[in-house]
Amino acid sequence: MAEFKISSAVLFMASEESPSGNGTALPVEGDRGCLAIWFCCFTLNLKKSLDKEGTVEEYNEVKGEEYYHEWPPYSPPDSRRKEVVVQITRQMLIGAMTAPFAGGVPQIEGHIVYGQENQEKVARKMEELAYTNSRWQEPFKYEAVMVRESDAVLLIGNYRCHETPLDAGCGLCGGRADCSFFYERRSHRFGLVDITDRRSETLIKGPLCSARVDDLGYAVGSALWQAVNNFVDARPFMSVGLAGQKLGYCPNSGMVTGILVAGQSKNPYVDINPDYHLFNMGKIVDVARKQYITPRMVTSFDYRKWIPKRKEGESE
Amino acid sequence: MDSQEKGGGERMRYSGKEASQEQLLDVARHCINAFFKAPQIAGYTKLDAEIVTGEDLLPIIEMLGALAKVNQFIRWDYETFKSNYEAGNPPVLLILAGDLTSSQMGWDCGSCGFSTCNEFNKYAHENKNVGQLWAGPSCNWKVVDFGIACDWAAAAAAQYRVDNRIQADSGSMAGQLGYLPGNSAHIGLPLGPTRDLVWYSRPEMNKKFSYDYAMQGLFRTCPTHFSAFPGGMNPIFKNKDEWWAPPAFNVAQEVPEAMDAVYEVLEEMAEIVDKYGPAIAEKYEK
Repeated sequence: MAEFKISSAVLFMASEESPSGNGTALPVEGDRGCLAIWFCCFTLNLKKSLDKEGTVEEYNEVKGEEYYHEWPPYSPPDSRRKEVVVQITRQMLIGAMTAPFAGGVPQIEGHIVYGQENQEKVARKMEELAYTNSRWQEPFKYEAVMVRESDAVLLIGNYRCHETPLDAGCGLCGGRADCSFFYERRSHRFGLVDITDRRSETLIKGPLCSARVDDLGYAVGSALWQAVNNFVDARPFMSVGLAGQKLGYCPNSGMVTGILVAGQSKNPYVDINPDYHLFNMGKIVDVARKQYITPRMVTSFDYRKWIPKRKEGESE
Repeated sequence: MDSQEKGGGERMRYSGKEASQEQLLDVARHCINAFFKAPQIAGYTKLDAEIVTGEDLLPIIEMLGALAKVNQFIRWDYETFKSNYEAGNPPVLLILAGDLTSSQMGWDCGSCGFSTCNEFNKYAHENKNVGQLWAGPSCNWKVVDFGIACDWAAAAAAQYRVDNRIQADSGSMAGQLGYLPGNSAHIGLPLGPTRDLVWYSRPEMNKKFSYDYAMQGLFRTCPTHFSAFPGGMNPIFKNKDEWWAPPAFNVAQEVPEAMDAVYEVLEEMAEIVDKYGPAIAEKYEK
């Protein structure tokens, strides 16, 4: 860019284009010829400067072609589409962080997990957890399929609900007008909760401050609202949150909720079949690959020499 | 609203302020739609909602006024409700409620502090009671669902560019007055009046407290910020510009009188509930 420096007797025009590198020094006072030359240099340099660094060429670089297609999964056109969804997921996480919280206290952390390998880890952890509780078995297996079909996994955790409660005696956790229900069941001194013993018979070590858990709901709600506004499908899941927490995501949180996010023709989280872990798009496509191959070999021939034709009148 | 006949057709003219005030009720309906539509994790969370307007706000304002005597945070909300009501621009209050005190899921996640949902349900059945704001114990996954739903209601209001604020106090006061019985948690969501900065940076609080009052509050709530060198284990408390002469020190002590003031307020609130409760309850008995 052109830059001008004016001293009492000499006007310097500094430009990267100037021979000296620092600018062109021209006398100004009482010298019309010099002034004309200066003006020419000024306009020339300005034009050069604009041509090289200014708007015209610069914005000419902003061009291209982008092809989007959701099939086959993880192909370049599909990965391009997924990238957009990941960007929206980032916006969802910011939405979660700006949600209204009790007393305006910061308490939310988040992780975004995407890519085939990373999503597969979450899905397999859910399948592992499925067999630890009979009530979880079906939904967890179904939801593991949804993780695989998603474009991104958003994990939102509350890092205060187990350690630094609201301490307002709200009554939500235990129905008491003080916070004794929580503190009687937690290791603490002077109300400072010791969370170093992370052993637990249950997947979540409770009790938790339910007022903070309520705030986690607001965070999840704002993330979901952001998704809706961007026309991507998103759904919150307990199973995804538990698996994510067990895998070490949202490492400081006492409770984690998982949101699956997808920008595809069909919302992967609704209209689910029975035995969805056995009947889903991934399985059906794989079965098609398996089924078609064998009959193809059974009716094989040398297509270069002979191709069977349908005879006139033969039933279709 | 004025209407006038001209050239055979009816023309309507609306005062912008009146129209926007009337529109709050429609926005409230949109918010409630969002509240009920919000995605749920548990899928069993029972939600309920009601819209309170005009004179029906008065019992809630009166309850907030009682509580404001012992809580500055609540005083903000009380002053805002009261002054806008008196100015003829009352907010529309949404009461959002849910029953969160049982678990049908059988997930046995442990977040409530019990090993199984059955144990939680048994304890909740025998020990269900009211805290300072809400009833409990609660299933935490239902609490998350309730939070998502309340957030969606507030987000809907924001989408319509209506100033709003999620409030525990107006909601729980409504719950104690008897609004939406059978629910364990009540949240208030006042909408409007339609101008900038009703519920944040509130002009109603201007000239309502002194600089000294604000500083005394900070001394009590953030004492470490005003502590001098702590090596002697009894740091001087810097509560004035020339904090060293004479020095002050922090002392923690039990103050029974402070609780006396709270009990007085609770008694006053009980009287307000007695005054308005039956009429409020009557509506649900029909």
